[in-house]
Amino acid sequence: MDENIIEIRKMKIKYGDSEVVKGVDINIRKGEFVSIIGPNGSGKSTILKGINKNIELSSGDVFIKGKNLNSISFKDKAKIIGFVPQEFNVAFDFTVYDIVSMGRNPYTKRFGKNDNSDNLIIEDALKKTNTFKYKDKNFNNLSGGEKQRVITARALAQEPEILILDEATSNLDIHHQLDILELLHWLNREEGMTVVSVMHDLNMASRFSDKLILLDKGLVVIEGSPDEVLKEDIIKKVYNMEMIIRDNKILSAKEIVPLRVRKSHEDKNIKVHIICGGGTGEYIIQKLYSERYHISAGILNEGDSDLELCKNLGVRFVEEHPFSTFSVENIAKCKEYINDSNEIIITDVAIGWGNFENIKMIKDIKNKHIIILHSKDRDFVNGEYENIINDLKGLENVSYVMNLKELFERIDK
Amino acid sequence: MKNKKLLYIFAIIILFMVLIICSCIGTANISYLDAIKIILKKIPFLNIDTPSIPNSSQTIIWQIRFPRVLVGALVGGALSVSGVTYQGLLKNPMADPYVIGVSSGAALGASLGIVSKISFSFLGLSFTSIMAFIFAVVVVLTVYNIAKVGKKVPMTTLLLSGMAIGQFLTALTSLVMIFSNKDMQRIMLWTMGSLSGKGWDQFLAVAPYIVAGILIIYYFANDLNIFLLGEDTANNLGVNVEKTKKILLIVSAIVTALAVSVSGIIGFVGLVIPHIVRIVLGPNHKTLIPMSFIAGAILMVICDTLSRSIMSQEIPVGIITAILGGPFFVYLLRSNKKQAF
Repeated sequence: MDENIIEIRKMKIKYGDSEVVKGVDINIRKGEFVSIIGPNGSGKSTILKGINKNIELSSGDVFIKGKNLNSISFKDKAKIIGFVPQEFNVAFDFTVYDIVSMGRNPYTKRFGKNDNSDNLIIEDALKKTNTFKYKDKNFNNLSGGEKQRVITARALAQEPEILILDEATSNLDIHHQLDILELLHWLNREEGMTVVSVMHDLNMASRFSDKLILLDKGLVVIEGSPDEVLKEDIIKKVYNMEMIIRDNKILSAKEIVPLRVRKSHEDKNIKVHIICGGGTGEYIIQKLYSERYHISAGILNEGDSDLELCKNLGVRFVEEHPFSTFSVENIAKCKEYINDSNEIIITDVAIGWGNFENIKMIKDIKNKHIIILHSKDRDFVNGEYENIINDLKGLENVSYVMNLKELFERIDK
Repeated sequence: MKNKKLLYIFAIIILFMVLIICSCIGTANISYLDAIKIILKKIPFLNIDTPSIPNSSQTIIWQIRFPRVLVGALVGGALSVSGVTYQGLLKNPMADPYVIGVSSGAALGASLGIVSKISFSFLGLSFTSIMAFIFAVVVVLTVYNIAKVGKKVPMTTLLLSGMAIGQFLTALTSLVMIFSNKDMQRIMLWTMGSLSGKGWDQFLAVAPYIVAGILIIYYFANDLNIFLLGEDTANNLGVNVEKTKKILLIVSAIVTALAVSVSGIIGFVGLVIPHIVRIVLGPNHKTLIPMSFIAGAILMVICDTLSRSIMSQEIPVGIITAILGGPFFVYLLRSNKKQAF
């Protein structure tokens, strides 16, 4: 496991006069699943081409299994590295079997035919990628996902130790993306194949990779485990955008929630207080935040997912210990936020005795626009909540909306 | 596999039948049986005796018609194989053996040869043929070097510089024609291609090199298959792309130049035969190369026979190939729903 199967030393690559890779050092260990990430034009694919002998380095070295790439013949290289491109089309009528059997090319002698052991390897590659059933079909008649699996099969027929993928899943729908990545994961874990992949989907990269290498402008920004690399301050800067990175507990992986790119988006200069909880405010908060409203939320109990979001975004909030009634100070603080705001939103959060205070605060407000999102059966305070809402409904400053779409329309007014 | 073997046997039998039948067609009436006997007689150990056949017939068959048929087969096969190679390398259905300037180079060389009136010959090849060959090769090397960017030869650049140089040389050929009014017709006829008067000398002079060249091309059949998937993919699958490309380009250019130096510029065979064979048998070069050779040979021999027997005056064979090949190709394109390229 400790052996470096790929070593890149001070790699520089030029296209014409523009230097795309500006001195990159990367080590990849045998059996690792490595994803190279970074914005468009950061040199990811070019580095892969450099490893794969598709392009000449302007300086630096690549060592594959300790041997300088320049001293490895194309044929021998093809026995070690299998390459899966982003997209692959053939202008000719080749069957799936023909395409996959071309993977045996580095092993075939001139004039020689594929012998039986070749056929077994081809069949094995077809079966692993679940494409055996298409073997006699015309490659061009397959769907994008099927084609990509066939190309992966061709790479497997090379019996490589390293599988290199250049955005191999970028053009596929989520089903087929996951399908390919699960296959790679299986090959990596069960067969010990080293996988090096350029990926645009950071969430997929974080979920499947042992190591991430983040590139920007032809240089390595940081490399390490997904936890080490996927940090808000780093990713925000490299991709130049607003985002949240949170733990996806279902997949136990880091998850990126992209928010907005355009900074020039005008500051709305409107303050909105949101009464929410239990995730009912999540979407509203994200959307309003990305449209540059000034948001406050509360009162929320510790551990509430809406509260976590507020913390992540740096939105103002009022926090209370769980399972306790709201303290006087917190109520005062929240009233301050409410008074400060131009609009107030009540989400479809369920109201019990614990958070009833939030609604009571609204009762007497006459000079602010209040938007109430419709919801059935959320009154857990013996109808007292409904009474307040019914009183409010008739007032001029109150909008009662049936869904989120209406809600956002009302705010824009 | 078995079907393929049968197919080869079938194709070769047809080729031989065409060779023999076409040797019998002509103004001097010689029966098929006699013709077969005359040809078989030359095979040692068969001991076929032909006392009843007049000597004149023997000379006509063995010294005139049969070698001409063989030259036709060789030229047709050579042009077809080099068409297959260029179409595969360039991944371009419009490519033919002349695409990187062989024909225009050969035409200029030949017209200079014709105008110079030098009647020197070497290894059975006339001065005109030798000039055509030399010019063709020089032009291809020039085009190749113009197209070179660093260590690579991008195919689009190659095509474009081939076209540019070709136009330039065609203009020079026209100039030569205008300044030598008397030879204009001979030059014209040469550029339309003809096997008139070609025999053993020419056949023996070029056959070994053409056959060697075709074998070299066949040696790279697998690589050509992989080239169809794109140069990057070829690289991924272990092909040394630039080196293979260089060898194939130069070898097929030389094969074409050899054929053209003997026959003049015969169009259409090298473009259409590869397509026809590809439509019928698929894109695998392991079959495409030998079958194109056979099909090209058959077509050329038939066309040449027509060219010398339809009218009392010989029609340049290039005209026949185009007249016959064109409509047949259109028919195949329309009747075959599968995309050929």
